[in-house]
Amino acid sequence: MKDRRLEEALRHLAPPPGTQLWHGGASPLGALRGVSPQVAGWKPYPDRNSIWDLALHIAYWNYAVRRRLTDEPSGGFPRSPSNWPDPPNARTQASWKADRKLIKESHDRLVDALRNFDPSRLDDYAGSEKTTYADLITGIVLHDTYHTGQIQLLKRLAKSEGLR
Amino acid sequence: MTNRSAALFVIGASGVGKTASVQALEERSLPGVRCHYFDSVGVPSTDEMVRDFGSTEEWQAAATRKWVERLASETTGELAVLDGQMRPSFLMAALKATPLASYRILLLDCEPEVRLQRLTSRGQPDLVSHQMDMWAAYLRGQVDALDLPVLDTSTLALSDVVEHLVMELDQLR
Repeated sequence: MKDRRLEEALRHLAPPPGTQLWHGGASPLGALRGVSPQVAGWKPYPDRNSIWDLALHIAYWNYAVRRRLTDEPSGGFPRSPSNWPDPPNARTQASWKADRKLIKESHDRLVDALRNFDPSRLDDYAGSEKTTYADLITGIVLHDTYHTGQIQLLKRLAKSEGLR
Repeated sequence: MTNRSAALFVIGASGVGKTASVQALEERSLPGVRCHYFDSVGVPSTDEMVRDFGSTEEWQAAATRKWVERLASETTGELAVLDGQMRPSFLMAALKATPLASYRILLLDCEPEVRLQRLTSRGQPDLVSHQMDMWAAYLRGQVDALDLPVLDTSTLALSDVVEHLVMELDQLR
């Protein structure tokens, strides 16, 4: 059985190849395409997040929501701390490539979890909180979108600062 | 050379009260304040945007640059108010290319349920969608990244929102 809420979420998280999202912009993975380690590590101000910070944060929450959808035990995310994992000290091409791989894996596993999610559970509470699975799914889509907007912003700002 | 123009950019997704509040501000005929509406220059079809600019996103970037250039050249000594769904990313890039003497960017935001009610009551139920909530989140993300001001209009009367715009303009004087 299909559910409109699940289909809508999947359309945002995993748009079919060759299609643009509604705003003409990118999905989180698309937003990271072509970003260099220099641009990824750049911050407009010292107390602001970099693209690298945001990308790992998105990956963490993709993991955390997937875990709740699939009832997996906690502790499976390979980086710490939770919520805002630290980027590596050495911000090299290799470490950025490795983190992009982690981000893609986390995203793909979330999409798989959504594709396999039983729609009849959408209105059930997810754990002991007053949050349903539908709330969780809507929340992760909004969360990805919120931070993708920030990644797109940082790319523009970095470009105007002459970073490539 | 930096010009003397100053602008308040009132941004936000559909249904947050941008146009209603900027129109109400305009009706007050405050001295030295001119109100503008982004879409007044005409919005091409999606096909035209893609054909002429490569994507809808690039059309928006180009239109934002044009607006900033226009405000820089036309509003010397005035306070301009521009209402539109401009992304801060495009605005910041345009303002870097064409600096104004001063500017402020204010995001109007509201609860999704309030947006639903407003858009339905003004006969635009087609704009009530998951996508509009996504667009609001996208804009909010960019605004929060820059620590720009946000006004939640969910429980405010139109006159309260206008008063807030007047206060924002006072900071530009």
